[in-house]
Amino acid sequence: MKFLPVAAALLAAAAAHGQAKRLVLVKVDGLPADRIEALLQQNDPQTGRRLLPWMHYLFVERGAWVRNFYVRGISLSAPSWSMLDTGQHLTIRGNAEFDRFIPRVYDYLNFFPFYRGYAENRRVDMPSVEVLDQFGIPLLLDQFAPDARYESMQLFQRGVRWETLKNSAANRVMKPARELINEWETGFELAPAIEEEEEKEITAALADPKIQYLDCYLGDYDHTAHLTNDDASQLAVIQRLDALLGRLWNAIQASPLAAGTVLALVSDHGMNSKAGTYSQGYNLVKFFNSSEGGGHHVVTVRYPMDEYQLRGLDPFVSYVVSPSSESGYLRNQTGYPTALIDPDGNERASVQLRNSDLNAIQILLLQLKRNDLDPALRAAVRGAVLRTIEANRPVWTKTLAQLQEELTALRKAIERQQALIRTDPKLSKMDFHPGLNQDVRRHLVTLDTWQTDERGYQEYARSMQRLLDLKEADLEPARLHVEALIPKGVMGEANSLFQLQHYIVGLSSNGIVLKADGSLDQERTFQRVNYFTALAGVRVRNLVQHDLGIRPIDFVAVRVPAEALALALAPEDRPDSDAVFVNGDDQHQTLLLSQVRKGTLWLRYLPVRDLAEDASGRIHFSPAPWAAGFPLRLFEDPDLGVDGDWLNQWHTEREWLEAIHRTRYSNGVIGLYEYFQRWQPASIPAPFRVADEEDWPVLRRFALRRRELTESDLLILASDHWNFNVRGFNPGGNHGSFLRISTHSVLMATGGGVPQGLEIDRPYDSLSLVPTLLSLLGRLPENTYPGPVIEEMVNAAVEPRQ
Amino acid sequence: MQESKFVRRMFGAARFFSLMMLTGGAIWAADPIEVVATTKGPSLRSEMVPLDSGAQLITFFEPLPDNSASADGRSELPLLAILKDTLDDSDPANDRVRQVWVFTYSQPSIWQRIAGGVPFLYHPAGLDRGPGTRPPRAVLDLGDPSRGMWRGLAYSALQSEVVNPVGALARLTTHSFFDNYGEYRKTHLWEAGDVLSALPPADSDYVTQDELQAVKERLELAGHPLGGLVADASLQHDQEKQRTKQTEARGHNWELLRQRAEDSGLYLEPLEPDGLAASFAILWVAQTDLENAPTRSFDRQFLNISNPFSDERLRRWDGYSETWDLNGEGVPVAEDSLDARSVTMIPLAAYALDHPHTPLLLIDFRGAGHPPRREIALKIAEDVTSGVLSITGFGHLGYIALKSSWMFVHGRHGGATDRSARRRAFVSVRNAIGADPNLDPRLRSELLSRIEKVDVNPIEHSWNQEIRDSWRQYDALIDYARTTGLAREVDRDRGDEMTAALHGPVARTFLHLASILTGGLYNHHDTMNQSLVTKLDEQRRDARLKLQAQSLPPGNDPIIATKAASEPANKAARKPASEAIGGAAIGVHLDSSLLQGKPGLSQ
Repeated sequence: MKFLPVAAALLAAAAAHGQAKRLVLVKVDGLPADRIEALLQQNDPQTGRRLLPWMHYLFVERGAWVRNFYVRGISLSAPSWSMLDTGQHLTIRGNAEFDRFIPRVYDYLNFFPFYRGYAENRRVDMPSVEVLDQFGIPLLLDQFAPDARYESMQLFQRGVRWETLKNSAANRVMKPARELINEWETGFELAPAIEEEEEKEITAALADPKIQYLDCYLGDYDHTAHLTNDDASQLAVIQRLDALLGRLWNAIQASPLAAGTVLALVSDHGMNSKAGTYSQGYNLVKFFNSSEGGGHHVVTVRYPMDEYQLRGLDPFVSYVVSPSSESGYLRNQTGYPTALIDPDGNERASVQLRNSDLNAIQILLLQLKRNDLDPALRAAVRGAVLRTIEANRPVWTKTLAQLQEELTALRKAIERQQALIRTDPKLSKMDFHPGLNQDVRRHLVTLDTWQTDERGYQEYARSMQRLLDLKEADLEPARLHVEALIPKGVMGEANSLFQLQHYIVGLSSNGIVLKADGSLDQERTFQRVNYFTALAGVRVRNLVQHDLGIRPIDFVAVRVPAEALALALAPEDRPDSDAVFVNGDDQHQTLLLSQVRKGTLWLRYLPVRDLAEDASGRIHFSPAPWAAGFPLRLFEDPDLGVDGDWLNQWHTEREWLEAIHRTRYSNGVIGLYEYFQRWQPASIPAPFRVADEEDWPVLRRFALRRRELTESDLLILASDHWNFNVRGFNPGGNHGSFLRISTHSVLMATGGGVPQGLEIDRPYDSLSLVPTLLSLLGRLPENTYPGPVIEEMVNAAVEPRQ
Repeated sequence: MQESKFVRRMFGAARFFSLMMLTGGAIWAADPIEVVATTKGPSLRSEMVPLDSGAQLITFFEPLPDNSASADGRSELPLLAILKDTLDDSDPANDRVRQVWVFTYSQPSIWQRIAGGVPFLYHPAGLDRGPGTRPPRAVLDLGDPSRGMWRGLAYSALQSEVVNPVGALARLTTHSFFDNYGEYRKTHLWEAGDVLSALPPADSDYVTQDELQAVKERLELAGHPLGGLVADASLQHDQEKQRTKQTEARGHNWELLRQRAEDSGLYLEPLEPDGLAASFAILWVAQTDLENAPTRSFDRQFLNISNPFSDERLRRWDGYSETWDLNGEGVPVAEDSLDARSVTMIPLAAYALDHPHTPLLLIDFRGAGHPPRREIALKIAEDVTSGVLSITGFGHLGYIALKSSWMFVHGRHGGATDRSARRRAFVSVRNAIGADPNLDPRLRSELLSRIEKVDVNPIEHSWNQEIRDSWRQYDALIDYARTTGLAREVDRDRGDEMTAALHGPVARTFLHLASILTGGLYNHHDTMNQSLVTKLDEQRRDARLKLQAQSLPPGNDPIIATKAASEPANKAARKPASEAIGGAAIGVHLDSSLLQGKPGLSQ
């Protein structure tokens, strides 16, 4: 209700200026701009009509078309919609995310737990929306009062739509016998029924002048294109979308706000799908299971090849361990996963590995549990355990101190929340109406989330404290409880670059080796993996599609702390935030550096080779001259709009976008920066406002920590037409990479004052959608959104180019 | 031909795609409005015979490799023919495709039918001498797709309620016959539809895409019990669904096999005729790998073959093999690569890629009996339970529950549980092997001889006979069309189309009943006259208008040509069918080599 006065005022202001009053946003998952661009030029030879008559009529003839609209960050649904739906920087970095400190999964694509949780009063919004709420980022639709918006089923969904589901199911079976026979003979489908029902609901909502925001989310194209590269099959889906746009437009024209309605079409990413070429999968779970990959027990959110397993039928599963038979020290201990992988998407995979030092400690503790260990070796191992803990003490102590402070503030916030809930009306479990009692539900969900956080992080803090408190006397076999010191499912602190280059995966074949002074020889005792070398060396033998080659992995990217680079870079090149290290192979590496100068982001791409971090945390590398073969292949790209000299300099983000957006990897430089940058809204997230104001800074830090704990150690990018899907197969096509075909998205608009016949060639990215739409509606608040408004679309005075 | 064919095929495919891309690029650059290209790569040749009756007989020919002996020197297979009633004008708005003949399906002879009814006979009987000179019967009427469906349902009811209680022998023979016959018929109709989908006709002068889609979908639905009841308005959407399902299955199986091959140290070779998507694939093992890794573990799930690395037979292999060039890492490379070494490759198995859910093993090169044994075992189990023990239908719910559960679990673990789908994969792959022009003739012959062994249907015939029978049926139909102009059929079809306009629902019900009660001896047909033809013209235009897009932007409204604006289509080109067949009317579209090779059509 608090939105109403603001909304009314804005509406009045908008009406006074003749601006659009209503937004109808059609959100299509994975609709590729390249394909749409081609289809808009084509006619059906049979009818002579355009293949996409409505899209051409609405957006090419009577609307504006942003021809170079790109995903910013990763071309993956959950991250991309998180930016398109909020207009803010990247907060969600995968379709699934894992917490390093507690075995918790953020499973953004699974609707089933959400619906069950809603029925149990434990959930109210989709998990992605909850995460944004907890971080303090509102959605575009939050700009409209709850009774002034119609929201379809989607990834970033507030509330459930039981009525829609119920009516869809009913409509599916309540049909004339002839239609039922049609369905029987060709296979029943529920998804079209939901779309039909939502279309009905949207048409009804359009007739209501109070409704100012409507959206319609369609996932059909993405689903089809993942599974088949068949042109005709994909075209059929796009033509159904075209027809739907026509029906929506007709409904808009018949509605009371026809003249003031903007109809916009947007997609969250492109689709790397090519007729005649199958996308080939490479199984990273098997790689990390293998001894070459470290022999990890690997966690994913779904069962690999789940369609061939009975347990794959379980729709609520979100945490699956794929055990390794080649683990160096955890064989048969599948309760100890040491790698968390989100390969969904699937041209990229996010990998979190257990901190290498925790591996070392556990390996040594397991040795100490042996009763037959030689006393000299036992003494050396004990010393090594304590030295490893000592080396980590500064970081762990700092983390624990901060965490305790945050948990104390969180406890107080929990008590406030409980008091608040006591004043709320009681909810019936059968109260499924999406528009009722949402705030009451959110109070319950927030409490549930905080209590889960509290339990989990307290447990983590206790176990780390036990490690810090460990004394030599505790390291006797009878007194050792490995599980109490190294809890299951905990990954610990993120791995440094040094750790990833010397990752400990077990005892070496030499076993425990001592130095001359009787201490443990760490180099020779442990078996290690350099993940950059190992991943760059992955090859396959089946060259079934010649153009695809035998290297499934394109490159690997990791965060590099700015301070580690300081001494290795000239003062003018030193970044003011963490850099990104991109590894193609030892000789083709890149450092992506960033500086913010007077509020403007500047970026530099620095080619290097032989980059390494030493044990003290200092980074060394050799500068490399520009040549072909470096990550993102900029130098050799014929579509690069600048010369080699330009590449050796710092440039603003806008200059980079304009120079590289047509290249094979489009805005990859900006995308990588966006993926690894950390940011936080300036204000306290709304749920934490219940707490004492003096606790707000600590709780803000806690909100940021929860996000940081989901960051990947390794971002692995697949080569062109390769993917990392393990749940099943996606031979039709994939996305997730920085390849232009995957990042190039659709943005078109018409009606409500949008210029007609306007084609905008200037490149824009995801951050521009929300401010542009709000600007069209006259609702854009000042200094709220980081992205630029697409002025060409908003400013009708700009000369349209036919 | 012991040479590096694998790499050659890949480079050939790459060149083909490059050419396609360049051609596409040139078209793109030349004209901002592009008309969608409908065909690429190999395609069906179409031939149109104008008929005096105001219709056209259009035949589609599938290209065959040059050395197909059974084609008698003709490098084509007549696949199917359609009768398209144009109402004797050039306006497509009132055209209607009616009868469809599938030449690869021929009515079994009496001896074949008897063999089809012999219980526990799981081998082609080989008793068929092929169709005679009588014209074949159409398998489908697009104007009345439910024709024959009710009879089929009646037979099922008769079987269940009358024959089954008689005794085991009656049950077994009738079950065997109807199962074998029904399977044979529907898989060959699907085969024609699949080829039509895979190889679209090279020119679309004679049929529109919508008409082709309708034919394809009706062929598909002909194999479903109630398929005849599916409305015309649903055909396009159904066809899209069917195509999507099929291409999804193909890509899924391709990728599943590739990954399993990679994990198992084997090599996958999908066979793609001239750049088309592969419908089957061969799994190979390098002889050097057999020598270097004799103890390698092997996971047989999905591949369904035994461990090749521990198989002594492969070390003494004297069957078909090829020589590929591999580099030091075992990756296929071009012959002239620096690190290329020649390696003997042994074929292990061939799989159908279009089979739903999992690739279907059709050929196990080490054990010719493996896939047929599996098929026979499943058939015996079915014949014993339903035929001998009479455990069928809803009278045995426990059995149904048990069987369904087992099938479900088996399917979840990658088992091929659908017999129709297995049969379809067999017929489709056999066609693909027989028609693939790129296959080494020796390999083709090896594959064909092995795949024929999978066949457990006594009514089925061999690939070579399928080609011979197709030509015989084609010849017979063309002769019949030449003699009669198919005037009777066209007139009857037009009359049937007008039945709904001329008779009310009650009258139609009685007419229908009369037909059923007389066992089909009486069939009511309305006789056409000029005024009825005019009405039919309007009726067809209305029907076509209804099938068009419901909503289009301003300026794109559906426009249906009027009768007055159209001209007689066949008149200019049309002569009496006998003249047309021998002369210029079809000469434009009829390949001259065909005319020379086919005595019946030579000048």
